[in-house]
Amino acid sequence: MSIMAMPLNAASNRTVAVGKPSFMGKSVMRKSATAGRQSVRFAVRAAGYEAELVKTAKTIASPGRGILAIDESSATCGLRLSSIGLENNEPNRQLYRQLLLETPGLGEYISGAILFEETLYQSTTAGKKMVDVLAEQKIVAGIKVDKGLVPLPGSNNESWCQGLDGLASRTAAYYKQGARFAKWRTVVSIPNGPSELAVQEAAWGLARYAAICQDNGLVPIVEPEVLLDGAHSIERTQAVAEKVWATTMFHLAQNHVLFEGILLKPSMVTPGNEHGQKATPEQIASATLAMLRRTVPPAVPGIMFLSGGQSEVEATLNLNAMNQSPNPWHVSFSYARALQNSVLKAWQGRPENVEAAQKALLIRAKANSLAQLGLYSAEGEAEEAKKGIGTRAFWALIRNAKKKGRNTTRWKLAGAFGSPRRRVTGCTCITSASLCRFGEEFEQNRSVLLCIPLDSTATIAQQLIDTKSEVLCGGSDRTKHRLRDGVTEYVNLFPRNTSHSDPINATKTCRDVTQDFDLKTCLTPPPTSGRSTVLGSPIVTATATATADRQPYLVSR
Amino acid sequence: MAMMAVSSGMALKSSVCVGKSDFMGKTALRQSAAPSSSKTNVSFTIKAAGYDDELVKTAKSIASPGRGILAMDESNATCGLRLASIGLENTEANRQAYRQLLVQTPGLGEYISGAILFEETLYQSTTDGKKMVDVLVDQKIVPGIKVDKGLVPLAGSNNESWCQGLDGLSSRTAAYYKQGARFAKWRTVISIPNGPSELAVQEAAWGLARYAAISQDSGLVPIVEPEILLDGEHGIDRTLEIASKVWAATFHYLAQNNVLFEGILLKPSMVTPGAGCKERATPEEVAKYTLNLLRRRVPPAVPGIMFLSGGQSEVEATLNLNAMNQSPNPWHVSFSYARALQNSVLKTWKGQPENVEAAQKALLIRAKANSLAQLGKYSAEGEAEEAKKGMFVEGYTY
Repeated sequence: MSIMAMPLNAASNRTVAVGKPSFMGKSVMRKSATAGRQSVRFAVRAAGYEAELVKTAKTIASPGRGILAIDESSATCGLRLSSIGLENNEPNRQLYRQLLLETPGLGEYISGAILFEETLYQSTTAGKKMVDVLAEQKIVAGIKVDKGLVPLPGSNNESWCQGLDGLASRTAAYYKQGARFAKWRTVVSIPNGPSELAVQEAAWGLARYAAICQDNGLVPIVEPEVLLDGAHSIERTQAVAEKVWATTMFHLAQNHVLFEGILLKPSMVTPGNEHGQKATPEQIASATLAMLRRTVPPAVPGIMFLSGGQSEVEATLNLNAMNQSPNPWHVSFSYARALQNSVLKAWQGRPENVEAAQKALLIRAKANSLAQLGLYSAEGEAEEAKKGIGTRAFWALIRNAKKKGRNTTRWKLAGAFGSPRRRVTGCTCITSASLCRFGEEFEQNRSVLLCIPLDSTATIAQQLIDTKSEVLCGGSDRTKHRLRDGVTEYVNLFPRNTSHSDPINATKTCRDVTQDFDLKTCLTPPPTSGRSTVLGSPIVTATATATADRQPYLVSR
Repeated sequence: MAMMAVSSGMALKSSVCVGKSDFMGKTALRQSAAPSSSKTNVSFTIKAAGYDDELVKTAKSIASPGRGILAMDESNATCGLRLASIGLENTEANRQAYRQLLVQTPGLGEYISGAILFEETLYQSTTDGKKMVDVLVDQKIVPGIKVDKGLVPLAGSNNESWCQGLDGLSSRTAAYYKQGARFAKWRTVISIPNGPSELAVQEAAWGLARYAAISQDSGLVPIVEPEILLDGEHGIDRTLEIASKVWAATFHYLAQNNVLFEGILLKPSMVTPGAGCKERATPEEVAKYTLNLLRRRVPPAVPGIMFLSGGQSEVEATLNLNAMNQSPNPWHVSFSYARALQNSVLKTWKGQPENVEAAQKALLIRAKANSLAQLGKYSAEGEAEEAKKGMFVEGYTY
């Protein structure tokens, strides 16, 4: 059908393409705007901070550098402190953050530090403002601005992140205090769907937060974390991540967010933590980069990955794999636990350990700096750094049992734990093949299998019970009921009548367990009889200097 | 109300922030999927992966360095305009003669990686009886096919248009693939003086996304073309604003339709002031604005961005493309020109057989110029005056 070009009216030299005469009949043609005046205007954003936002984002996304995330809420910081036997009070939190931020030369590897509100307004024991310490280190100060996750009604038990109320004035105040970037973390859960609603809410919330931040001079870090929990494959993670990021970028565009003035904080694309097969750093890099190439336009200056519970070395290896060839954006890190873990263990709350702890931080920061440049090698990494976060929780359980007088000489440890709510990395599932081997050994040694069972490991525990091994289990009431009689000892990690995926009480219980922990108490290693078919590294005694816990004897596939 | 961020267990990162205990009471927690099974309740539709590899390969081949697309998919009516401009009647024989002239240009494949055909041409042969598609393949040029069914008025809009063509598209594209086409093109338009209305933008983006998904299903690399018309007196900032909106919506819907980004090509209009705007822009300004747009909207997985000329003069189109290639881009940035490649050719040919060789040379000159522009090495010295003449037609219809 041909379309004629018609002049609008005699005086106008502009034309409107119109169709057949019958269409012309309905000439309710809107009066076209006169020259210079537009009928539909898009909101023009206050361009006040644009240049600064772009500059700040570029500074944070500088080669060889990444972000140190120390924005744990006071409650969460308490968990870190109690893991080394410290009370959760403000002086301790001050001491700890001070230790981190005053680390000499930190600015060589760290370009930004995300703070919790308390820290932003804190000073060191010498009376110097924390933000000033950072400024002198040439580290940009950032601030967590969200108000945490809450249940999302109408969803499949999913969460949403709140914090938009009063965000404008909050961010303005933070800017005044010296913050130059912000962070907002929402989550998406694959086992729970994710539902269309949850994805939409996550993306829209992030977009609104980002627009408000930029309006107040803060570079927004955009963080929709796709949780590790679940048994899904890496392909599934990639599909979900693509959807989440495509939606997020779209809503950011709708909110007129300046892409050159944001940073992203994605989770890496990995299999779920309960998936049978682990992925290599190369596989993770390949899937993650494919996902990013499909969703992130090159105007975004930096992509700073979260570690999400990976071990320190794992997180660094994966980052390194992603930087083996040039990317259209800076690909770096924004790690919390994966940077702080060794530091805590080295410090133990003692002033005399501060220097050693700061050195530990530099080691990790440098390793990740090298990874950002694609130059990292894992040789020489301390054993400590390789441990998954989860094994430590487990190790605490062992210590507790030992305290109760159990002979732990021949204990073997196995775990395949993690529920959608509790994410524990670093452990793998016991397969039936290794189970048989295991069973034989147990019969001969009368060893004890210690595990924290969920549905799957409850089965395994049961099978081992059937081999007449001693089985010590930790878990919830619910999982206990799944085990028939025969468990030598059952350590209930959770208060009665609560679901084992109840996060609050799980936390409390684990904390109780670790607070009972006496560092000097340790398990003695098994005798070197060649019998310990190496399925993992052997139990090593914790020394009196109370350094890190050692690698428990892990069953691997 | 104070909110606690609680991590369940030291091992956890997924802290669930909960409020008062009355929430906790409602523990109708869904039974989590059994860890040992890899069953998921919501899976995304997986597209037939049949053509994925071929799509990626074709797209890469079209987006190869130093090469671009020759758009010769004018409908019969529009082709008639071209022919009429040099005094020729609009007959099939004349259209055949003209298209034959173009595709048989010796050495064309050095600068041209793909040619978009109209349906008639896809099924046509040369006067020697050789299929047009075969001529192209011999030239190492990928044949493409226009698959849309033109613009029609968009009801409920502000006198805007929408592009039709989804009906039967699946079987049409399958047939075209069989005939030898390997990429497709669909052109919709956005008019800034008319708004554009939210409706028009939405319709354009959604239509493109649906077309792209269907094309890929049938083995054709879709060229995604939402042309923002040059018509209007708006400044370059306004064009950037609208283009940003249009492309955001387009990519959003492409993603929703599970289109494989490594297997598409884009055909945007450059970001320029409106034709009626008193302030003109230099090639550097056009490049800057256009690249800003692309960097903000186009993920690097997309292999190639082939600009339309949209009424710019031949030299203008080449200069602007050249300015965009002065430093490396994350995607191949090239051309898909119709008038900006054909103009001199027509004027040289004039329908006379004795002018064919000269006309083909003229095509090569333009093709080579744009090839150099794609490599960022073009210079306008020595260009003929004819090539500098603007070709903007108000209210132009394709």
